[in-house]
Amino acid sequence: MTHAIAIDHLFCGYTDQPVLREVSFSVDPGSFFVIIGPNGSGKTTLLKAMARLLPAKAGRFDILGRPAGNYTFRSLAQTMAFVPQETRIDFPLTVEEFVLAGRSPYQGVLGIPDAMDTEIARQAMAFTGIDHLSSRKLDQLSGGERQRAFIAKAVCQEPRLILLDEPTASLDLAHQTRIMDLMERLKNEKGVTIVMVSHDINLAAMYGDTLLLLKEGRVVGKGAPGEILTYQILEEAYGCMLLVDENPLGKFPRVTPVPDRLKIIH
Amino acid sequence: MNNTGASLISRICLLSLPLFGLLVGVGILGIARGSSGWEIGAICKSLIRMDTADPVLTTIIWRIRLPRVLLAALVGASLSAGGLVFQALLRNPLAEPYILGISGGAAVGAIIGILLGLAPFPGISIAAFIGSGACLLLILFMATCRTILKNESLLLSGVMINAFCSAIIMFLIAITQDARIHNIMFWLMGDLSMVGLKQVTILAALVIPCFIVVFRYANILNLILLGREMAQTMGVNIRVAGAVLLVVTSFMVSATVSQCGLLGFVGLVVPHFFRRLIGADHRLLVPACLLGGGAYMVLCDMLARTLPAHGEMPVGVITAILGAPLFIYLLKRPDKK
Repeated sequence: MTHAIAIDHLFCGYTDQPVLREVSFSVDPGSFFVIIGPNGSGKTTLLKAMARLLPAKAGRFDILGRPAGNYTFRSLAQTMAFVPQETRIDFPLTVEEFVLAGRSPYQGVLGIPDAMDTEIARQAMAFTGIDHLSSRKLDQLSGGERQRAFIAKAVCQEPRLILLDEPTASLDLAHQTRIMDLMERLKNEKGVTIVMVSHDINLAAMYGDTLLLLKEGRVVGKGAPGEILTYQILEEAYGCMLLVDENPLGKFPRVTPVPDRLKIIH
Repeated sequence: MNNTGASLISRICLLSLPLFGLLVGVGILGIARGSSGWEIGAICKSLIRMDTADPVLTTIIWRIRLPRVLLAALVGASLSAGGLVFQALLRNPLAEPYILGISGGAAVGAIIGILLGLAPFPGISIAAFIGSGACLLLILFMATCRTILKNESLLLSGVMINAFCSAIIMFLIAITQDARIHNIMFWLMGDLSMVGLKQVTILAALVIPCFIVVFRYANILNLILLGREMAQTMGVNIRVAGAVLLVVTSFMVSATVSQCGLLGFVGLVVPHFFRRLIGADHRLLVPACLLGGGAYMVLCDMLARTLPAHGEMPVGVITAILGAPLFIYLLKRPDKK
């Protein structure tokens, strides 16, 4: 089986001092893959390296069985979509114009859309539930609507993989589950491989097939939520006291950080 | 909402044709309007029956006013498109064509040319072009340094180049005592007079290919507006696209500035004007800025040379006096599109 992503002994960083050291792992196609880890552990760096936004200093990196360096930017954009964390767009762009821009890797120089492009954009907006917002300006949307517009744009690229950098950060609970449900549907209905960086371990436990735990730029563990989210592994990685029990919703762990004043009791 | 390719192409045409009509219209007005009033009749006469027309007037119209109108159109188009590209490329609404230091270099070159007593053309033009070219090389050198790749640093180094050049300019002005100071001031304010058909042809040959390149990159500019990372993950080779746009636009502005001096304001306001009016799609904005910016400059130049009873006033005065209030009005108006 060809891995969606295979990374072997990857070194990567912004300066001469690499943030990621000897990172090796693979992502199964059609899986929901969540990268977790404490602040500064290199999660976002790893995601950017996977999106080829940061060049690797050493190591091997294959996407769908082909070395990442063999892809042109255009063919990579047809294979993989990226949803960044911080998305500041202060030019007046409508949702429809923005989502339609997701078709640009398939279009000619001037990006003139044909009937099929418009139809795919319409379906992507319907899929993410923002079709009623199509003529609204992007900067007039709420955080959750905005995030769905970015996901619709990614869907419009018809990628085999979608990389997301903390898509639920700064969203309320309803929008968090809505975004996660959307990604799960994308995986189940379209077979898209989802790779997500998340700070929310409990969301990761409920939705992820495989979790990758990073600490100080190295892989600490990789496996199903039940294997990675154990008391020993998490306390070692995060360096704080945690309570890990079974989530009453199903067979996956639930992680609760323990406040100082309750530490004596437990 | 229908947003198919056909509708986009028809929107480009629906926008460009009236603006082209406007450009031709103000062009005709600009040729016909002289210090002694309107001379449309004389134009028709000299067009239809060369032999019976007043030869002095014919010369004035075709040798002096036509090149001047064409120059104004090219200058307006090039500065507006330059501002548009830099605002998108640097993702900064305050960007204008001179922001990377091109104006400072051109001014130092031109002033040295004036002080050396060179002829306006080709001497001073070439001196200005060498000055701006030197700044362009400096910008490119800095842009290829990994540490200054970030937009803010590029912007800041442009501001520094301009500040450094301003110091040299002030020094040169301070040590100049004679009438040449008047020429220097005129150059710094921007000057469309003293131009022949040959100059205009050369400028057109230099900038029109740049216009085509900028239009070819219009959709890439749309993607760059979404952020460099976003653009790259949507298939844009951001290093190549950024370098091409930087070089082509700087070259276009350098060529323009070395012909007409530092005409300010147009490059800042025309892109914003059209962005308010028609939205952020550069496939519409590039033709709008080229045609509309050209028309605006022709109109301002016509007013600048005909409004005062004696002589003419710097065209930069008119561009700002007309443009600034109009733009504030547009800002205040609720967003329609």
